[in-house]
Amino acid sequence: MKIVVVTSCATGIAHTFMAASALERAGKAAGHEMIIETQGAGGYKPTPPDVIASADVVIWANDIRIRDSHRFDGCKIVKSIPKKAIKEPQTLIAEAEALAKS
Amino acid sequence: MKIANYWEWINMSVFIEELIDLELVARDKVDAITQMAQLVVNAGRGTDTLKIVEDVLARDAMGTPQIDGIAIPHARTKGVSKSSVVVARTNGVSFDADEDLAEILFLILVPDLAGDEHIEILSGLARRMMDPEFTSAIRNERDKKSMVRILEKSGKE
Repeated sequence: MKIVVVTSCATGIAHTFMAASALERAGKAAGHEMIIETQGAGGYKPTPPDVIASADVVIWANDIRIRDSHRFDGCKIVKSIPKKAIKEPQTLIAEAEALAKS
Repeated sequence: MKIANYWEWINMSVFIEELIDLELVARDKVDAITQMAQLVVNAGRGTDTLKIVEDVLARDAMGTPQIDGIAIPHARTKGVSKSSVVVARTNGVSFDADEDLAEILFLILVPDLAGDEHIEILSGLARRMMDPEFTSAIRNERDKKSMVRILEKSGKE
């Protein structure tokens, strides 16, 4: 499965990157292709529209508004927060798998 | 980047021995953050301990990330002039009633300016926090010099 992850937090130096790393590890361990977009204090590289369109499912783990969120219009999105992504990344991956199949 | 001398290197570096305390005894999280902020001021990387503590506690109210007994209080603050990471081994500090006591604290401070050259190093460090090999190396390290080496490696991945 191809999963696009977007993470973001208020300060943009800790939660954003911890959540991204946790989801990347958990997703890869479950055999998924993970595409990670961190919207941190140093800015972000927008995931290209064709990559988003080819994803089976998207996970947002954010405390503040996702930038350029219209790029994900029409996608299946699991919406969560960085704290949950850090503590229970496997749960979010399982939710994403379920949503993708629905 | 060419580095002319030791002092310039100290200025450039985020991880330095002066900002590591392997025997921090603290009553609670406010006491721990205050003592750690004082190290930053003592090292000449900040001017205002109180301001640092205030900003960290304000950020902490929104939740402090914690993983495997390591808590990472952090803030963007006018109290520091250079990005700094203070590492402390403690007697156990509670940051979150839902979590175990934190044995290791990483206090990450970023100056209140846009476009800081250290953001990449700090985000690399945050990423490595999810690597069990890294957290176990940090938890077991008892020597400041080796701790700096472990931390410096973390910025590169």
